[in-house]
Amino acid sequence: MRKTKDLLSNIFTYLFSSFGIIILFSILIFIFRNGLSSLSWKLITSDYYETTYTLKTAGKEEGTFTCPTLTADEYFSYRYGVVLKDSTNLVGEEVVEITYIAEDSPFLSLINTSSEEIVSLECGFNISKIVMSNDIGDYIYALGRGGASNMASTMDTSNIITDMVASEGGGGIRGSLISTLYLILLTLIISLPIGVLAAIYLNEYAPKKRFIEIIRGMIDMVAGIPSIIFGLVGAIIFIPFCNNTIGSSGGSIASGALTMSLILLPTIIKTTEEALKVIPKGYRDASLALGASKTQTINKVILPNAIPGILTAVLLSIGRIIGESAALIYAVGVAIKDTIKINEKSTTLAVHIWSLMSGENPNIATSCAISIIILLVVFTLNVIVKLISKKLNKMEVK
Amino acid sequence: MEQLLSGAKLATNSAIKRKTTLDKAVHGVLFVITLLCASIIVFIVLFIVIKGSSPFLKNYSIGGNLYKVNLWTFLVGSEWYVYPAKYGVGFIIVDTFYVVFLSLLIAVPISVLTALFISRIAPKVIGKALSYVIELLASIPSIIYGLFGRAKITEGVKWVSSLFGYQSAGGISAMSTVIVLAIMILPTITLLSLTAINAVRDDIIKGSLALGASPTQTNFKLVLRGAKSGIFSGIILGVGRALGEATAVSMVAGNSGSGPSFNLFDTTRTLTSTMLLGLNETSGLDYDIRFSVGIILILMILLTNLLLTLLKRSIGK
Amino acid sequence: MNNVFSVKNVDLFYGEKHVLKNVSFDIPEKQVTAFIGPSGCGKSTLLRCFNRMNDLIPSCNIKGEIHFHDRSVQEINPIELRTRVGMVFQNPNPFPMSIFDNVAYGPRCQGMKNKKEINDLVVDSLKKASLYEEVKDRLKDNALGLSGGQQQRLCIARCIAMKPEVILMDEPTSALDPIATLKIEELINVLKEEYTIVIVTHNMQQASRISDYTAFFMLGEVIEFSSTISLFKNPKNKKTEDYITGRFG
Repeated sequence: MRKTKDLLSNIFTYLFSSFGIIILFSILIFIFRNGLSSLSWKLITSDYYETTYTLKTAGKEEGTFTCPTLTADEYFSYRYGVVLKDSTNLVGEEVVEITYIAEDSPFLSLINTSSEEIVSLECGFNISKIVMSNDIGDYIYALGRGGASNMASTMDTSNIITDMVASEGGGGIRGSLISTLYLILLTLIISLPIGVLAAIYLNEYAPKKRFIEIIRGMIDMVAGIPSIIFGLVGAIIFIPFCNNTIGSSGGSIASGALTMSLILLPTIIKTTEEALKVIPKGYRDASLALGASKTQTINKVILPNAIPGILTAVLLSIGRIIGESAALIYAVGVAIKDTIKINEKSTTLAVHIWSLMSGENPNIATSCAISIIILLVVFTLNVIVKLISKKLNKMEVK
Repeated sequence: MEQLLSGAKLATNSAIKRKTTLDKAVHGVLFVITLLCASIIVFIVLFIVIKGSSPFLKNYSIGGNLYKVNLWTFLVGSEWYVYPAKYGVGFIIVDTFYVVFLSLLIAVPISVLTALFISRIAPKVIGKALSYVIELLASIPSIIYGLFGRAKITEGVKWVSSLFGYQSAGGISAMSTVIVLAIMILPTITLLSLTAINAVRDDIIKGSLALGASPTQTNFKLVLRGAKSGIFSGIILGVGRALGEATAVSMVAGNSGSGPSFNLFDTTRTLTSTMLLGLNETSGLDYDIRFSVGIILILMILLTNLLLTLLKRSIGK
Repeated sequence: MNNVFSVKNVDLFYGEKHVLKNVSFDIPEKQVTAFIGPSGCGKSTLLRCFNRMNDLIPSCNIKGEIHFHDRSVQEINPIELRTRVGMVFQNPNPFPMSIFDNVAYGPRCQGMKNKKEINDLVVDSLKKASLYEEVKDRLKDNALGLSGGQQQRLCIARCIAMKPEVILMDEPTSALDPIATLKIEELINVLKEEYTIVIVTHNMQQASRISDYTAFFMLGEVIEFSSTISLFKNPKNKKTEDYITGRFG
């Protein structure tokens, strides 16, 4: 009886304990399977918004080009001398991609319908729509989602292109990546000095009195507040503040950085304080006994020895900033941008995912690709923090 | 005497005075900075209360009519619509607690047993690996849990609901919210329980084994009992995280317009999803009322923390 | 003979605890004065009063007068006092920086900038602490790589670099092995030509070997203070006699 009960309990324990692993691996598998194919250098370096041209041919095209060697999914337009291929753009829409343009193809000297300037297309451009007319003067058209085969054959029945929409790039995360880096940098510039100095006060100067305990308690309370509340705070304090000082309108990276600073201060203070506590009292005594002032002691002996702790604080902060979404949705906004300015709206990588997922068609592939980047950074930071704390512990034993 | 003073030659009176003044100035500056850090909490509460109370005090012009929210209908209301403006947070509070409670029901047993497994049952290597897995889970940002929930968990819930012949909103439902929340608070509760279980004294365990109890009996009857205060702290932290979690919840909750609804396959609405979703304007009633919800959220977190801490004390006795 | 410190009716409290009780005596110039007594008798506490290190303990409360030359130590700025009264601690506590930087630390803190001056001073101090020969090839190495005895001599060199008048030593050899202890004792014998040395020790043989004067402490009181020879040869107080003959302590 006892044995069956024990066995049952053990089975339950084993079963339940495996949940953690199952969850971690399902998330990892999901993200890598969906995101890995989209994750590319192109994704990281290209703009979110594609550059689009509306084009037409200069006149009637009567020429016939010779077909180059084609792969199975490529189609050649003899009239215009271009090779077309089915493709999807970075946003996930079906388009037709140009993979080859013959030497004197009319595609090298198209005319921009709005500016009348000559535009020369290159391989890699996507065509989403093409309107043409044929000898008789009938208008015919082909769409990107109709496929490359259809588009190539339709094009060969025409001799004038009257309206073609071609675009390049788009769907990339360069802007969000830069804005994330800006946000990290700015937040650390604001919060790190304040946090470290407060930690120094609490550990080196503060008398052990009730008053200081209350101050500590108040700082700890900040750590328990959910991040969305910080978003609200950013929205009512920092957004107006930035609007009045650096000429932003609405959310900006600057207001986001101020908001993130509030979120991070308790962590920075706590981590730095832990590092200060480990520094042997003998260093302080020796320095003071040599006639150094307290300020000198802190500058020359305490701070250099607290560097591993401060580094840990920096790494934890970076992880938190990269992962943060709720607070930034309020304090910065959800508008994805390509040109990043500190006093303008933009999105961090995490909020980029939020924006991609909250539209009509959630873009899971790009979201997962961004998630891979975020997870890699966060996990790496995790490992480094662990290594540092291991090293610190060893020092303490000495 | 002149020769003796050579030791302090460099430490002239003026230099020392300068240093002492600098010391005092540094001390003062550091103190002010620390006070500033401590006052953050005051500012947060103050500003949110001021902004969040304005919907009940001020008239807003909506479609030409002046509109003011009644505090009582706000608190007990069962509908939340922008047009026509109907703001009742009552059902949202109920829905939030319902969802959080269910997620605890899932997460607590898993977390506690996982912690027990890591600490007392698993071979050292496996225990260490598993605790590392839990730490990684704890470090995953909520947007990624949200993404996973939105893409995969809703899919699963949709399938399950179709088995019951129920047409759910693409799986966006209370059930998905519960699962996402349970996954998210699992690492928190596990890590705190683990610390508590590790802290149970070894001699007590040996004593139990020496009395003829089986290891399993010892684990369940003695170790868990000894660690219950720490486990409870983990639960308190988990509840705090669940109540305050915004991004992931918003991606799977669906923001139903009225309630409360206890149907797991129905969409739901939590305090945080109300604050986050449909954020377009940055002025006007629909914006300001989110701050009122913020006040409610802070109060809820404080209140549950207080209640749970009291409960923990009475259990601990 | 001049007195460097004169202690008059000093009472010291840590919170409620009465650590020093009505202590009075003088520390003579350029002599080695040893404080002996059972542990917890207040000898280190008094030593820390001489350079006001007790200021760092908030609950510490001192009554009575301690004069450094003709000024009360409470009236001297602690920075000034500590530049003139150096201290060597029980556990060797070099900073985690190079040997050179350790010795140069004090002078640099006082604003010494000339590289040549600092260099000369460091070499001179290391020589005086009879450490130079052992470390001259690795002045840029981290001081924590030295042995315990070397570290303690480095701390003495660091102290000498300030050119203080007095060196306070708080059980400087208790953490060291016998050979390292012997080296430090030899060093003290040389240093007393130039410096007034006050040393706390729990080792009576050490006190009798190196000191000119000895104060015997018990339970916060100074039981006896006289020249080392007379204190050890014919103690006037019964308690002193019991202690130095090893009946207790």
